[in-house]
Amino acid sequence: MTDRGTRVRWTTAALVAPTAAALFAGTTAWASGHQPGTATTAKPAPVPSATTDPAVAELQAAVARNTAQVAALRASVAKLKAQAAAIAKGTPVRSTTRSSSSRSTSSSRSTSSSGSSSSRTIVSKPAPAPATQTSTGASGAR
Amino acid sequence: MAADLQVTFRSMASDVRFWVVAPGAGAAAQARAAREVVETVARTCTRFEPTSDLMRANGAGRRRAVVARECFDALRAAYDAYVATDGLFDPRVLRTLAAYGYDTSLPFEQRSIDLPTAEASPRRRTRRRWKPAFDERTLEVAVGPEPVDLGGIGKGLALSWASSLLRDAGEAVLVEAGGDLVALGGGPHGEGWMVGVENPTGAGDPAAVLRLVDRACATSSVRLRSWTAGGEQVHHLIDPRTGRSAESDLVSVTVVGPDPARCEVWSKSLFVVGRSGVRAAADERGLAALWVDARGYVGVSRAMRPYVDWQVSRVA
Repeated sequence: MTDRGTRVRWTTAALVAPTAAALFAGTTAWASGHQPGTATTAKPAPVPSATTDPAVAELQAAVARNTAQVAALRASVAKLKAQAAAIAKGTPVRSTTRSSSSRSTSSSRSTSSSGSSSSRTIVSKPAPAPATQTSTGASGAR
Repeated sequence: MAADLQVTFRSMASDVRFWVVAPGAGAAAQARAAREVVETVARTCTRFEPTSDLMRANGAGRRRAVVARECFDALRAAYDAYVATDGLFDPRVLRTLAAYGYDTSLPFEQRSIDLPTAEASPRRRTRRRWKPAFDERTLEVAVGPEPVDLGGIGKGLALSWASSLLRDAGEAVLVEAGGDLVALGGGPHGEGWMVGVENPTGAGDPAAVLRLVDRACATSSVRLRSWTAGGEQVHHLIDPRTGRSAESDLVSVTVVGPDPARCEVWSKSLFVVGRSGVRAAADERGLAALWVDARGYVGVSRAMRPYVDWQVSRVA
């Protein structure tokens, strides 16, 4: 019983000793490669600087344009949501559809999302009805 | 350049107008001939005169009756339309209209017509397939046991025949009667005839403005010809499937096409179809249709888009 306990202790010591030695050696190697008192920090982000590279300038301009476009689209979506809410409440909201071949009368318009339609939906106040020569409807009383 | 020729007269209980832009030398004579055609159609195809060719044919029922060429052609066109629409257009509505009290001309312009003794719910009859008989050689026709009404299609045919007589009368020609029309050429300014689609509520801006060149147009609407029969609101657009006023959730349908009679037939048929099916029915057949539903929303079929110059999405 005593012999067995002694054998276990020696076996444990044989395993632990090399591990401790390796750990000590690694720690020493790390310490020798580093100056005491210095902290590891992330590399600073590159500071944008004025460039004369035309390709970069062009990309930056594109970014600015697209950012403005996104802002305009967000505003448009907000307006459409408001209109949809108004329609849901029963408030009459008018929009007009004109053939793409027709004369343009409004500066505020968005292209139909379907892409297959030749018409455009004007989301702002519609242009007044054009002059007509006649009409079709229930005028034929009989 | 000669002044435009404008001819207006009353026929088919409608205001009829011929407008010839830059008329040629024979325009006046052509207009007289066109007027004669319209008045002949009105005289032979009216249901309000018991001695008209149509009412004689109705009276003969299954027996054959000789009728005028105009009435014969109108009855045949009505049968062709019945077949083409699978019965959605069916002129055998006279009994229903009579039951509703519309067997005489009614003063619809005065509004709020009340016929308390009229029948609100005419008995639904078993509707058998319409099988009229025609003899082209003798102009004999047998309309069958149920009397027919040629009101709408008769007006469309009158416009069609009148416009064919006026086709070369000037640089552009407009022929119209009671809201249906034929627009030939580029109109007074050469850019097409600008046609307003009436707001079915009768107020404010039109529902749309169409630009038409060499096209006909017809509208079926319940705005004017509605009345109270036996305490119930009815109108003149009869659903052949029920034999009663169509319970459509549309208030008007406008159809554009090459022929005014066909436009008239399909505007009625699409009205009967109702809001849920009107777009599919029009697109499947390539019909240029514009409709206004009971909530005021305006719909347009694919084939109608090229004609729409201006439109509201909802009438005020």
